[in-house]
Amino acid sequence: MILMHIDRFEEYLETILYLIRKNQGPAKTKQISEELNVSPPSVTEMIKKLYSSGLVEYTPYQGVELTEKGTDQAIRIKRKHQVLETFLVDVLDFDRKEAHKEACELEHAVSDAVLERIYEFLGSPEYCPDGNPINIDKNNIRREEKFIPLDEMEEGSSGKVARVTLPRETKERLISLGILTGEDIEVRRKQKQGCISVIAVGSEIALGRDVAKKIFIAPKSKSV
Amino acid sequence: MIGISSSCCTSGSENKSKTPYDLTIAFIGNPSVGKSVFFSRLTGVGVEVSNYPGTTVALKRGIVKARGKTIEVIDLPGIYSLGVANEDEKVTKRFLIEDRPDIIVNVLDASRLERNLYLTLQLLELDIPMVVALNQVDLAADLGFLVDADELSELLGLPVVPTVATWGIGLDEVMLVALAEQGKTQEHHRVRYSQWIRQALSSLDYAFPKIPPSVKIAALLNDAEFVELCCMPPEANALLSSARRLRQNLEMEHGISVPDTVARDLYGEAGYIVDSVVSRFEPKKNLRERIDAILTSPNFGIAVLVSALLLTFLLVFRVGGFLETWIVNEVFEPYVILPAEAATSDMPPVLRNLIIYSLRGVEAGFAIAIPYIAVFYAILSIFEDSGYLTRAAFLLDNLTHKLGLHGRAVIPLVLGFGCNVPAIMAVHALGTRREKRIASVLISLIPCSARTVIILGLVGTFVGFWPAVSIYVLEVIIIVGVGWILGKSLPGQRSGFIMEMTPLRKPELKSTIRKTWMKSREFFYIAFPLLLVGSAFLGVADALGLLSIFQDFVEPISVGLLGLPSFAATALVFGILRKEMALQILAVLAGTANFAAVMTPVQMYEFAVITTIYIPCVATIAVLKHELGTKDTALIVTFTIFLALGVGILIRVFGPSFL
Repeated sequence: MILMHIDRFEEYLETILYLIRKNQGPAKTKQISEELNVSPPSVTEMIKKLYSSGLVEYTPYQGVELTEKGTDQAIRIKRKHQVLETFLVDVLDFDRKEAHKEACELEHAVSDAVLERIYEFLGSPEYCPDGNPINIDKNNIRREEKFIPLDEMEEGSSGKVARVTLPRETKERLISLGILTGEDIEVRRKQKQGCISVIAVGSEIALGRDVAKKIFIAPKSKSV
Repeated sequence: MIGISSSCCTSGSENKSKTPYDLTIAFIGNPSVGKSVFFSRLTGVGVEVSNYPGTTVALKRGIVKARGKTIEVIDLPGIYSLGVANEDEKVTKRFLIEDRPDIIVNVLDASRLERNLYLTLQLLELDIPMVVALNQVDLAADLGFLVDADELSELLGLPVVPTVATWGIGLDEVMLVALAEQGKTQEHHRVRYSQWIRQALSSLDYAFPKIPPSVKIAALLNDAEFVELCCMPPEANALLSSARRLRQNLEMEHGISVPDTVARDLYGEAGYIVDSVVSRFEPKKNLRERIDAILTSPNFGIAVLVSALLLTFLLVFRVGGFLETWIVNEVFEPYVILPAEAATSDMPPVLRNLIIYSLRGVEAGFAIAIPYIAVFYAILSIFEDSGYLTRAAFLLDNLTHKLGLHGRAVIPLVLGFGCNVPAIMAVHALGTRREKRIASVLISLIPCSARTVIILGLVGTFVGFWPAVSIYVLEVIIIVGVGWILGKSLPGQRSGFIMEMTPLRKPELKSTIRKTWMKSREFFYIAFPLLLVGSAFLGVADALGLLSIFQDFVEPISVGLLGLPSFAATALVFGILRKEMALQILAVLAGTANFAAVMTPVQMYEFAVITTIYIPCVATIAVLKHELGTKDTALIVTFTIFLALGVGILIRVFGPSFL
């Protein structure tokens, strides 16, 4: 394989994995071209190459699926991305957007050995700063996310805080107000675009959208 | 290394004898639990507000005499925990450790007991004698909670006194109980941490037997500041690094987060205590909830909010404006300024100006303080006490977010149209420094009622109604633009919006009056020195002819660049003292109040816009300096000068095609 293409391959595999998880089904060519910002013909071209390398399967009008080999590779690269992003944000203090961009570049260059050291150094976190899981089960890539971000909860619904992916100071503030993993909360008020308020430890706390987005909830079933 | 004898947390008690007080009592509690009402009722007038050394966090100190003892009482800022999340928490923690008060009075809100106990449990670990004031028991009863104070006292191992601070119930008892606790050793309740934390603590116990448990918990939580305050550097470092190893071990081997686990243990404990002391009953179905739901409903809520803000604005504007005119025209001019002018007519001009201008400074102070600050704070405290403020902030966060501000900032912003001074004083509650800075800059640009006098008196009268309105539009565009740019570019943590919604309740007249009085007095303390010095300086400069030198000096700018009459520069200098004085002096210098005879419409328009933008008035500068410090204030002042220049030039160039 031509070395130059590896980056490109990995980029595609990562995107396809992302779309499969998002769609809960095959990734569409059109989506891929939108995600990667390339023309549909070049997507088709690339998919042919990936197919001949045994990484994907393609059904016309259905979309692209990953083969076992493809899944392996995609998960590996995705994991690299998440770990690097976590490292850039948590240790080097990059902001999320920059970290994402940098991670996109670095993920293709970093070796598995270096990556595992970084992962250990970080204390083997389960989630990256965006709240995505770092370790994806390859047998179950479509596994449905059980946690939903707080800003997508309905008014009046309740659940348990599953994880909070916010900077330390904000997290501490939330902890001192009773919003931390393992505690129950109930959505009290919700605006269409703006704030959301929850009942935590008996008092009502209003949260801005950008805070609520980073708090993930394991919802309780409605029947009590 | 371990053998170094510990000086941990014992340093405070030795130098106690140096203070002139028999006893120091610190008040501490969550925000909006009625702690300040409590404090102000207790201390009455003799309160001194000072910043904690090296910070902008205000500490109120007062003196109370009881049972023949002189007691210093200190009102610590409202905090939710002894953590590291913000400056208030850090200052409180530092105060408790370094100054080590004799007794802590922890004010709890009975209606939100469980959350309030989080802080209480943290305080208990410090082993300072403590009394709990269980406040707002009336509100709790309204909401369906009855708290058994004796049981709570039993569980926590300290005295608990039920109070209703707004009515003054139980206050004396708290003080008497606190006095009786002096010197006693209390057997405080200890939090039972979960297994992993206990294990970590006991391995720290083994290595550092002399260090108190609270410091070890802090070390486990990686609160280096706390540990360093309590221990000598070598020991602090040793403790912190042992704790770091233990923490990393826990986090990697067992996948548990230490801060979360400790917090959960504290809440678990709080929940257990609440279950044993609180009996719940179904509250009678009341209007409260229905009103509450309406206040934040999508459409009606906004309507209520807009009308509330408009009403407030009108009140501040009308009532404040009326009172101001009355104070200036009916009180100061005939009874103070005129007699003073007559009495000083024989004096040398420098002395004469010194006296007259200082009096004018006092006049400016009263003309702002009484009408605007008092009216503003009366309304703000009603908003605050009723719990509506938090609902308004909830509704508006989305909008203000675009300006890099929280929903809370809207109230000061809107009310800045009445007067910038109280608006900037209200910025204090905004949390992060970044937000305080953005809000302060924006407020300084808001056309307050004094600027409105110029806009209406000059442009409204001599140019036209719509041009006057267009100035407001222009101002709003400038403010939104500046806010947007600052929001994007200003460094500092963009903290997300997190705010406790206080329960709705009927505001109390007494508390409103008290807050209004406190804030007006605060303004006098902050602004009067600068007002007096500034006015006196201006007077002397005028008498010595410095102003005309200045006028000549800036002529290339004022006439050459901006195209204004040369005397306008002097008028602008006086505008710094009190904005509407720019217009009065302009009339004096022009020799006529018919400005149309001496200035073109474009000149008038330009003058009005420049007066609204350039340098905030002296009183505003004084509060800015108090809130943000000298450097930021200087920056803001410089920024407004350049902004006014820029906008002025634009008006000169493009104005003629519109006017």
